[in-house]
Amino acid sequence: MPHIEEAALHAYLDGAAPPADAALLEAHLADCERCRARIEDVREVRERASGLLASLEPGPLHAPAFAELEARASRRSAGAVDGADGRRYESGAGVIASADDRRYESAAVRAGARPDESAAIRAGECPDGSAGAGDHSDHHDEAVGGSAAVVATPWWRRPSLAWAASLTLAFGLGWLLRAELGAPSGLFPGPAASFDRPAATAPDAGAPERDELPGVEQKALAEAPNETGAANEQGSLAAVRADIDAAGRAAEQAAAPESRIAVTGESPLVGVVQPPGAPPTGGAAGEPAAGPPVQRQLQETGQAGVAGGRAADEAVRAAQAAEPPAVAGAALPDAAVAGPPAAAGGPPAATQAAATPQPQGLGARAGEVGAERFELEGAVGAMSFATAGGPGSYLLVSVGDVESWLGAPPRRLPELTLLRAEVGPPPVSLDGPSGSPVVRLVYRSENGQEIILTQQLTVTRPEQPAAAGAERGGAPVDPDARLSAEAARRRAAADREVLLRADMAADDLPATVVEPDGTITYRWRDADGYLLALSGLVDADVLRALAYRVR
Amino acid sequence: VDLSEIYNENYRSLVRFLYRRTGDQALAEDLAQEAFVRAIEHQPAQPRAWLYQVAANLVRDDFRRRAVRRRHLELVGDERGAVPATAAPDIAYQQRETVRRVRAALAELTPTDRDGLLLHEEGLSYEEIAEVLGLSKGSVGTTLSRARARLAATYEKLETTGSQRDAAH
Repeated sequence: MPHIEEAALHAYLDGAAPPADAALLEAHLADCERCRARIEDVREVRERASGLLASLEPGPLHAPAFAELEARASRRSAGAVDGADGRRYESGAGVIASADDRRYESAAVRAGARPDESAAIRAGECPDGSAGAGDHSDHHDEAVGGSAAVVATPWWRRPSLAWAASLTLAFGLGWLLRAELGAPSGLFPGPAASFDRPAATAPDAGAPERDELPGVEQKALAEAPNETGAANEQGSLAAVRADIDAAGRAAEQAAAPESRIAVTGESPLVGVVQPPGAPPTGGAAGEPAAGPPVQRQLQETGQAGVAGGRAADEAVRAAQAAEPPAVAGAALPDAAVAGPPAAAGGPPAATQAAATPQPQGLGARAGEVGAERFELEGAVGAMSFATAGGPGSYLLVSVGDVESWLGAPPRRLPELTLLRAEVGPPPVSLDGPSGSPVVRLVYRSENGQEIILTQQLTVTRPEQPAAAGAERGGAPVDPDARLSAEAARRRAAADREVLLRADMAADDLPATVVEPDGTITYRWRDADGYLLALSGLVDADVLRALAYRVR
Repeated sequence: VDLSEIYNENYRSLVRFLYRRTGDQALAEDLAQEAFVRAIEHQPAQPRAWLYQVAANLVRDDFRRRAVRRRHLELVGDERGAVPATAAPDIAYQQRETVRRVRAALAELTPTDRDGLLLHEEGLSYEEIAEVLGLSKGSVGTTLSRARARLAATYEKLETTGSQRDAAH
């Protein structure tokens, strides 16, 4: 009688051999000394392997209540219905579905099944059509035309379709972004997209005010950094501020000297400035701008400057080196005329642009975050925002002001001692938009280590209906109104693109990262849209434990 | 199928499986929870095998994504979570070395062998392992036999190399 295969010995020791085989095997073992020795060897290897794996034992677990997971699932399915979260869910399921499809397909091929049989094997996996691993194909169907089609489609067609779709998407997004920025992409690559992002966050009501007296509001905002004292002159926030400053100083000369400004809001940093003469709404985007030509030019300069990040930096340097008004205008000749082509022959560009959402200043934006929901998940999801701006680019603020900067009550670690609060600029990266301000709360742990809780609010902004611009324009048939509607449509398309990127980036969370200096950072996102990071020179487990105590 | 019962009975086991695959406990917990959330959404007929299959796919996707987007971030790959902070220094060192070698030996296995071995350690039957890995039931024994032998042999080799290095120092 031949000796027993080693695999059969393993199966026997694992208790997985069928009873008949086990009986035969035992009978053979009783007679065969060599196989008795072999089974002892197998037993030893088996125990050795188990013993080695036992050394890889996780620490104490955090097990959320099952109801919490159910709530998460229902939140996600609710999000999928209205399309907010659907992409992420479907893409995740798609990945699994494709893996499953391959697996079952290959299993079927191994078993000698025809393609239609392998489809039946998958169908058998989920008899009710909604259970089992195969039910991913429900979502997968849209992309590949049904699970049977996956098998029937020649293998070489699927990758080429995917490539074609990728290329089409890439060109489409590129075109949309180009149209959205309204600036030559060769001059302001990368960061232009980052700096353009706050424009989408500004409330529409701000546009008419700017149309009336663009410079005054900017001037008042430009005073804010002086009041905060240690205003750093590096980083994107400072660049934007300084750009506003340059435009503001120019407007100071151009605007009527008797213009007074009214500052509302508690903190100077979150003041919303309204010129007293400006109507609360209206301001008729269709009308020609009332201000002198210099004002209009400055407004264009300001917009394009904020939209083009590097251009803003150049404007700041130039404006600081020489007389502000002339240079601020001159430093951005391309940006100033970079509006849509129709603006050249039609109404002033400022008038048209005013119908689209405008940046109203960081302070005002932070104050209105609650009402105006917007989505900025991308930038911080993809990057280590705890160190994004460098240590020098955070402003010390009072704890009471943190909420106005964040736009919502900050997350806290109530069990630790709060040392100070800081506000930093939104991180800027080449592959994502800039976010809302980042808030850092610096705590001291029990053993004296600094624990930094970094947070940023990411919320969802409903899309602007294209008709909104037309209504503000007063006359829906007006060419300006049509242009406004077109601008709103382009902006909505760009927003969708940003959401898409945000979904991709968000998949990185949660994550633990080690900074070069040994600081460990644990990043995650909570259910209310906060992106959070805990960092410190402590053990990763300590950070994770603390993360569960963040309220 | 009562998923809450499945959750109570299998959550720790699933986390351990994922932890042994990734070396990162936080990631393991997150992926395990994600797998259960998807199970709630999909209500699979055979939840246990389904969960492990989804979890294994999640790990694969996660590694693929990280490989693309690694940039300057560095995954925490060490075993801080495995060594109690109260262990004496030399014991902690020994444990860390063992853990490091076991992990290195696991990395030497093929993905199928590694997953098969880890799934069996979590108590999955040959049928369930075959389902998760897309193998025939008959080949699971071969897979396990190969994986165990290679794991043990690689570990011995690493241990020998390590002690020779220690002796040289």
